[in-house]
Amino acid sequence: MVLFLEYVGLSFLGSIAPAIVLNIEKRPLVWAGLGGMLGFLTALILNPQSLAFSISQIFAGTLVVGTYSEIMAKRLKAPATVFAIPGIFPLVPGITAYKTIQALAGNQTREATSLAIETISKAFSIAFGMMLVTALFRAIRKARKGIKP
Amino acid sequence: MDQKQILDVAIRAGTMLLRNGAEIYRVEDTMNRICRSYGLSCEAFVLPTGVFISVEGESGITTHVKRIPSRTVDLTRISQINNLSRIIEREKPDYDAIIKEFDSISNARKYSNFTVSFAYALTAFVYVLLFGGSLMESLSAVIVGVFLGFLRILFTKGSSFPFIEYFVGGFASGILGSVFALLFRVNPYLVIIGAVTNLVPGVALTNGIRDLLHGDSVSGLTRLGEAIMMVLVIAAGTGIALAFWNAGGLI
Repeated sequence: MVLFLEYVGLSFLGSIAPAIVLNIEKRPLVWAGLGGMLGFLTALILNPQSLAFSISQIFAGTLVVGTYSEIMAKRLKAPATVFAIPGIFPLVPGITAYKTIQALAGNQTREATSLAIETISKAFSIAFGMMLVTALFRAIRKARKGIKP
Repeated sequence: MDQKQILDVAIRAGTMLLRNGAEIYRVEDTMNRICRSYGLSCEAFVLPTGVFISVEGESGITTHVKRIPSRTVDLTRISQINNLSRIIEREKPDYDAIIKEFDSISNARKYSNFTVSFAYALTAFVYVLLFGGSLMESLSAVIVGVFLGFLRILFTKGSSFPFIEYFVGGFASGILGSVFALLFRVNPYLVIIGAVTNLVPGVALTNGIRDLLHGDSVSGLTRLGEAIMMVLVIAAGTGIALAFWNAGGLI
């Protein structure tokens, strides 16, 4: 339980700190942090044993971050990117990248190659997840516009 | 507003968006919207390194080309230009009012160097813990993070090669991580990767893939290439630092 609370705080800060580097406005700052936390916890709940997320965990987390960003974008009248970019930070495959560098430095080229491919696949799963949510929300918006007038 | 002024507004909005890290489709869409709301048909073509726009109206075809020398990510400006383009669409204000808006956006407040360096340190601290590091490891990473923050201030004053900041950053993290490993018996790789999280081009990578999936293949591949280049440069920096250190037989 204590460990869980620790991850809540860490993932929140882990989205806020990079957001400040990217010069986010003050108003959406806390909301962006919450989005990152939700995404990270979604991924964590799917397999609480390990912090090295699999591709499907990262994908699920991204879907949550994406949906949250689109909803907050509507609420706070800011583009969804403002919430999405800080939100995916805790999901970025840092551990895999770390292992890649470790393998490279240890001259284990074969190990490094497969780890590099894993890193890239994880990055792609983030992008695909984001894309899917954006496309879905755009379709919904279009359908609504078509009905109204 | 005449044709030239409309074109000027569109190209200002486009360059400002692109310079601050917006996706290609957003830039093109915003420029098209601005022209359309003043009743002009326009054709916008955007690459990561430049904006091209051509409008057709009473005074024939007018074209404008603008080169973008460097890009950063600035979420405040993306959001504000987005709002401005909405206002333009809704209220169609006159030229002087829009230009005043642009000036106030480009003069908008940024976080101070101190705050940003603090954010660098916080990122390093948090990510070492998230990667399963100990408190000692994350505190060492904080020092590396602060150092990377200083490097950033140093390099924003302008450097001839955009990638040199990443190389120096990676090299410094490699050396500092090894030093801390010697001093405090921590895992150098965890310290390095936590600190280097600050430099990793997550935004460029995802934006590149998003551009690709949108069908902007030229821009997507360019950005992806740029992101991969950054990762390689960082890895080269840390790798060389670690190789030096290992050759000295100190780890």
